[in-house]
Amino acid sequence: MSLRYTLVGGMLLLGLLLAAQALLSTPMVTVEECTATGVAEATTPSSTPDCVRYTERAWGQQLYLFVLGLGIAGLGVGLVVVDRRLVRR
Amino acid sequence: MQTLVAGGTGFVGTALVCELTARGHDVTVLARTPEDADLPSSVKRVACDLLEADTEDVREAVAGHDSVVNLVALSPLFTPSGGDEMHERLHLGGTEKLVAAAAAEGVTRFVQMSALGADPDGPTHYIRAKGRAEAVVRDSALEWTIVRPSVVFGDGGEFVHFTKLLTTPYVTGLPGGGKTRFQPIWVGDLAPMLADCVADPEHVGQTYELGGPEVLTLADVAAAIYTAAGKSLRIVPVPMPMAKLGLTLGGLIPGFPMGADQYRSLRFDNTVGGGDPEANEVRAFGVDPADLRTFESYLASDGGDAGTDNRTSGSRGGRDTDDGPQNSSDADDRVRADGGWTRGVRSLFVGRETLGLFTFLSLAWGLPAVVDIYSAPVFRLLFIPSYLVSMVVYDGFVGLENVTYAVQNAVPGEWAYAWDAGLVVTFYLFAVAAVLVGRLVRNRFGGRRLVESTASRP
Repeated sequence: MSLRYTLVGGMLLLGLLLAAQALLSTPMVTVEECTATGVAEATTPSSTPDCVRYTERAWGQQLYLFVLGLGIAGLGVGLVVVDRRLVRR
Repeated sequence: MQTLVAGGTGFVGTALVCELTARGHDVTVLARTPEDADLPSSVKRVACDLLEADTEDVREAVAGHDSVVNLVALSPLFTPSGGDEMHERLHLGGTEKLVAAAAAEGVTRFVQMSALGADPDGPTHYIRAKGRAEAVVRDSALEWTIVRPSVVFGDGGEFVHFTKLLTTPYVTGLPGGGKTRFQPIWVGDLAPMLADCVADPEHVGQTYELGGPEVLTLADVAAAIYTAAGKSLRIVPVPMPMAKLGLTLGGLIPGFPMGADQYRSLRFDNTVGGGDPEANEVRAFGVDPADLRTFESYLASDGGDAGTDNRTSGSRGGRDTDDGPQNSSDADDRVRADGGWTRGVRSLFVGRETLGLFTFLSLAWGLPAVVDIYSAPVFRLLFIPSYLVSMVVYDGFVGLENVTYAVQNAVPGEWAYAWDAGLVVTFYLFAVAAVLVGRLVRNRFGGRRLVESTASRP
């Protein structure tokens, strides 16, 4: 009983904190996109890369952490539901 | 006389049953678990839960008795398990069942233990329920007597426990400076008066307000308790609005032993006639208030550790019996809340669950640096909880590592492992928080609690 609800407490705490972190933080990701222009007129062909770096919000990471957090908390809730059902039988 | 004492295994009940038995009554106790009580061998026992039983069940228990004493009660000092509504269900509902059963079975005498200030329109659930229960008794055709004592003290009682729970030795904060006034009466003085109500026809139709020999403030009571234990006490007044906020918010936490009702009850004195000795109706029993036992004398003799010393000091006549452990069915909720709360807080920090979770998180984090236990992929999974705690609580959202950095900056010296030490502390704090959340969830939603709460009802 105690171990079960210690696990439940840990999962709920960790899961909800993780979900809150995912919601409240703004993880960013830096993307670099390059295009190249080739010059073939000279004897030695050359290309000049044209790279642009920009930073944007990492929605994927945020969503991943949020779902992970809810999943962990959900496991805790599931454990409580199972416990209640087992006791009622 | 055949007498049924409902709640006869409780704090007051045990003393009354001993008194009635000594007077030659044939006593039956009605309680949820009467078999656990240490009562005289001649006492018959009937197991009955007044909350769950229907009138037929109660009639069966009441049948064949000349008188009924209703002592079944929940404590006003703590929030009962099941919430404040339990006062209405038990005090009013239980009394209705007992009165109906007594009337149907031809019982002549009915003694109701109520409480000072009982009022259907009173300020707390307890006071209102007691007031409504009194009305049920008065409206019946029975020969009734209602007794309204102030707080009752004695071995197995809760008054000393409650005060100790509310205070700490040496320096303590008390709502309003602890000016709420009580008129504590010793259980050994009260029990003979209740027994008189059962036997003497002169008490029929009377409502008695009974108090002890002195009026004490809560601060006086706390000081007396700690003085008896050889400790000093300095009171720091806690503003009533702050006490209200604290108790009201505390009451919202599942398992917290006090709530808004306890704050409201601290706003009203619990004295007979405002503390006027002439108003004390113990005289109706031929007792001078000055002859009653004082709280201080009780503490000086054996009450310093009340509740651990189970001797019952007997009646006014000086009987000194050893009744052994008292099963307080009318006090079990509050005793459980009292001792349970203290033990619960202590075990939260050093309990097996907390230390077990802390050890697991620490080892799962630290062992791989020393021993290659994670070469097998399945063992790597063990690292995940520690990593997540570290990620969220230490260097993430909660950011406890900033505390480590602050300490590091404040204290000069080499701090090679400061970050790791901070993480270990974080694991411990997380384990404490997880166990706390687990307990709250268990108390509020846990399947086992359904069984426990049923068992804890008077």
